[in-house]
Amino acid sequence: MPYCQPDDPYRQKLLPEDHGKSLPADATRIDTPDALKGRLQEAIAIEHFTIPPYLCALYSLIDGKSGPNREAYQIIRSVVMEEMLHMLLAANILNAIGGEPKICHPEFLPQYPSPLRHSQIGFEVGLLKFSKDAVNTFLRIERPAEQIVPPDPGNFWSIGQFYEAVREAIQRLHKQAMETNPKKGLFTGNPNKQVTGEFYYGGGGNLRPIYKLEDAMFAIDEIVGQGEGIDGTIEDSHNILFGDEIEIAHYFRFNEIFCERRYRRGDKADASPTGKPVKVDWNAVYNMVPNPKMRTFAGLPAVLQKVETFNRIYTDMLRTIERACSGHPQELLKLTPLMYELANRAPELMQLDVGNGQTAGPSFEFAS
Amino acid sequence: MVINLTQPMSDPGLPVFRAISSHLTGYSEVDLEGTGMLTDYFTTLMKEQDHEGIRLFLLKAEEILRLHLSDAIEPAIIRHFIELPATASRPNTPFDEISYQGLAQRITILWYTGVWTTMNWLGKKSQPDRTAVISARAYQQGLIWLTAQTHPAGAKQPGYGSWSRKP
Amino acid sequence: MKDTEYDAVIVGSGVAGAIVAKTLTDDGKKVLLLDAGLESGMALEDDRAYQMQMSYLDRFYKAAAKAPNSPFPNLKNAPSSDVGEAMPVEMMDPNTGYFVQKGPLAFGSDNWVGPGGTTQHWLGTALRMLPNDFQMQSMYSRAVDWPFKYLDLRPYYEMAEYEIGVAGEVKDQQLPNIGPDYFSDGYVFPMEKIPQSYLDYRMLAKTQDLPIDIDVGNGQRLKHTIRCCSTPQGRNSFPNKNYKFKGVTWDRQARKLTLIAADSTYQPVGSLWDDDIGQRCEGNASCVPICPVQAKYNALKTIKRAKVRHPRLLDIQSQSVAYKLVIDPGSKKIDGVKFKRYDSEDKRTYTEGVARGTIYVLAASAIENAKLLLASGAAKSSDQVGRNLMDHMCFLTWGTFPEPVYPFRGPGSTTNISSFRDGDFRSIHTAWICPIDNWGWGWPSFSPGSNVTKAVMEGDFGQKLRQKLEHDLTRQVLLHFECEQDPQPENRVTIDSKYKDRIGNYRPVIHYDASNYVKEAFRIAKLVSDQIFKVNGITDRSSYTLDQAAYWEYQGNGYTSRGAGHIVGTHRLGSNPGTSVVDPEMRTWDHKNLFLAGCGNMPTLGTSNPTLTMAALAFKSAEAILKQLEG
Repeated sequence: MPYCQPDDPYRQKLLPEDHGKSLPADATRIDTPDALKGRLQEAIAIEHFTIPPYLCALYSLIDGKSGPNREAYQIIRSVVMEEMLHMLLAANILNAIGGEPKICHPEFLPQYPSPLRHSQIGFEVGLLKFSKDAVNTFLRIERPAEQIVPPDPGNFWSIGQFYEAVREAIQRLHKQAMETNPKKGLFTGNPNKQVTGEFYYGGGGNLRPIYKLEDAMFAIDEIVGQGEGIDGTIEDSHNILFGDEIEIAHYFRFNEIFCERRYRRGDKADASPTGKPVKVDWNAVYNMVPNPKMRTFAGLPAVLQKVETFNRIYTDMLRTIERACSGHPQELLKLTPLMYELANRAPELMQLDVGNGQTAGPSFEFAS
Repeated sequence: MVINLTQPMSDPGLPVFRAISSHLTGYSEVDLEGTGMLTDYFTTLMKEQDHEGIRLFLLKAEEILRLHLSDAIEPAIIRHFIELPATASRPNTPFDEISYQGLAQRITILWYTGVWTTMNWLGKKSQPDRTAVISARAYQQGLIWLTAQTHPAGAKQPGYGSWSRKP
Repeated sequence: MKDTEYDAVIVGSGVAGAIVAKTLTDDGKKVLLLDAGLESGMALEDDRAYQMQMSYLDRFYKAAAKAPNSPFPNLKNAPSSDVGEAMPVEMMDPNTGYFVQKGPLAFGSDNWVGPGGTTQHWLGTALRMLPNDFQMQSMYSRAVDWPFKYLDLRPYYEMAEYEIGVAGEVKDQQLPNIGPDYFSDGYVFPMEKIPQSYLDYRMLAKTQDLPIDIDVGNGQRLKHTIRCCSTPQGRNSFPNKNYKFKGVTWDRQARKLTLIAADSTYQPVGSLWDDDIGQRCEGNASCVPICPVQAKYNALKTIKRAKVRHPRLLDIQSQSVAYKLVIDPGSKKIDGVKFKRYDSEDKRTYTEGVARGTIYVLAASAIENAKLLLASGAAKSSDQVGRNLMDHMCFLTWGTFPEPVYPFRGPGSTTNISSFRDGDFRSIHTAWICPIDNWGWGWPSFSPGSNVTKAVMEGDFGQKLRQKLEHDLTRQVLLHFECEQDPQPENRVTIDSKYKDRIGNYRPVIHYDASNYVKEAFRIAKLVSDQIFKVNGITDRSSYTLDQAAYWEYQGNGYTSRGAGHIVGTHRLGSNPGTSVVDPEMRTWDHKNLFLAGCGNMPTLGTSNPTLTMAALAFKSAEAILKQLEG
């Protein structure tokens, strides 16, 4: 049973000396509430950014949750649900400080392959079928902060450091705002716009409403905790024990797939997992064409039509989230059914031969 | 056209099978391909039916498909695959004179339900005498569920509350 | 077999046995649970539980007939009946199948012998009985009275609704003659109601509050207003913020079970293998026979909670078929349960053993409990063991709605017609509940598959076939008039040494018939159905034919009855040892340390699916057992 050896060629890519392009000059310290709102809108986009790539990998597993890669399926699916939750939490924070989450518009959807938005690390993230390469990319996206050198003010190395800046800004700006508005401070948003677990299910954690500073801090802890793991440990803020399992941060969950082994209590953050084997069949995957676009299928109208339908449903999902976060929280009830519809349609796309032994796939492009 | 029935994966009979299935089921070829069952069903056909019968059936199907326009194809399907010549009930009637032993019907039922029916084909009023779901996947990919604007019972779950709304 | 002294030996791992096991172990008692099913089926967590569920699902997907037991193995060493076996009695071969049916009417219901029992395939409908169901003799000169009233059972119903996890809306419940204290003050179900279906709303538009006034013959008219309500069910939904409880505990001072006040929101119990899965009904529309995500309650959830909380107090022994009670000839106490422990599903080899404890609880289902008692010559002084076998006799009517209503979606039923559940008519014909079915004509006609075969055989293909199927299937509606059955001593389960299974245990021999009290209900139900169909513009497509298993003719018309799987009555409780098998605490009159759990205890059936009542009674008897153990 293979698991990560120190000289595993993939493992070496995890200790990079990556240098990429700098972020634009205005990506500096967050000085005003408006700048903070902008950064929170960015947070929503960041959380969303990884969802289509993770979903492509997920959907490309043959027979999905009942097939040979069902453990990997469960793992990736749980990460997606948490990213979804992070999106909603970020939208809640934005709403709480009087902002307006914008989700359903063409600019929101990245053009894959695309570099990580917040990061100086220049590697690109694409829409790819499940593979060692793809999972390796996921590891790089999610990697914990302490593995990397400290950042510049405007350029962040990891998602955790991005949120650290947001957290600091919220505390500082709220303190300032309390001088003129001692009751609410920064948290002037309409409380009825908060989305809660009342209309949301599907795992991913607690969808808490944000009414005051402590709530916002807790929410950021949740986002960072689930994403990276706390301070070099493997557990996340849930720290739930059930039998051998522990709830573990995204990075480590992907590592369980990569190394084909589960973590267990006592394992260290900088070493490979030593728990039960995870069954992975790297070949039981649909050979989806990399980074599909609608124009890729221009010559196959029947296939194009199906890809368009998928994209329309995905856009509908974004519309539903935006509506839910604009004062209609009960719209969230439609979210899980929409995700299931996508999960049912995507494998259909991956059955369609488009030449070169490759199949069609979802392109996650905006389609009104 | 030479039809080689020994190697289903790259079998030249597959495109004919797919095309005629499209006309029989009323679903496009891409829809059928999207179910992922094309090869499985073709393999089932070869396992359950004598190869000479399949050969004759596919030859006739190809001939019908060359008519191109559905106005011409549909009556041809009715004439050759559905209706029953008066000679049918005689023993030892040549295979192609008794509507290809209901193969068109059985293929249609297979696509819709994932079930392969065997029956003594003596015409429209025949009853299937043995049915079996060919696989768990075939059950889930049956076209009937999509046709009824729903999903297979026990699979492809649509999510909480979905049944309160129109599909 | 350990030489440990168990406080209780429980036979059966269905909801009744599970509740008793959990309640006893919660109070520190040591319990042995004997289960006849496979050890692999008793997987309670993680990957083993997941694999088990996947194997059930796989069997279901491949089954040619999607019958209630189709996902589950029919164990040759611990057989279950199969509704597919039911046909007119004259045609049945007593040497095949499990039940031996003597008739005259075929008994069309099944249960499942295996881990979790019949809750594996149950629909999930969780209804309480109505007050008058407990006093049929006093009110309507029919059947018998229970030795206690509805209100006495009400606190146990609340415990049962907690344990099973019921989703429902109290305010929706329009029930005849219930009085203001049917629900306790401020009571709500643990979870919000399961959303009603689009089909329900289309039917309710003209059927809710529909006044009917029809000639029912003999110069009589039936005047009635139809009322419908959402159906409470044991299926996960959004927690109700106002739900008040978080558990059941034994109050040592008061010597009774009480509900513990909640200090946080109710948390739905998900699947055995992953609590995040099955937190909400996902609309799989396959509740009978299996919920792929286990949003629907099954008794293994209760067993798991008991086992996780008290791993050393609850011993579960699988592949063990109880076949005889050991009775002390002097004191008449039960001294042990003899069992055959089979080695594997395939072989008929077994080892014998005796399970011993202070208290014995039979929870093997109404038919298996009766069988075990008869085989042991136990609890026989009333001569009621095995007698008074009852089921809901289901009269189905079905048709085509004038516009699409999109069936084959959602749980099997989310709304029911409740107004006939009680009334003066009960002195003349039985009451019924009429669930509106969400799954088209599946039950009587095997739709949607049968529609394909029929249309194809008629020569349809291509676009025409597709459009016809879409048109027909999206308009299918079905009503089931589930009629109460009256207790009749000659409706019974017996045993006969001629009929045994392959490891030498008795097969149940069933004698069964329907009285005119039921047949008259069918006749009236059809007239009511005709009226509902007329008002809704539904084209009636019902048909009842001689070749069907339980067909009869009554006053010039044919009717077919179908079993609901609500098997009750075979060891009924009562206050008179001469006419009942157990006392009001479900302790057998004859053997002071033998308790019987399950639907067999019910002297009348009413119009509710009996699972919730069985669960309430299980709490009641667990309470009595704790009292007895503590002296």
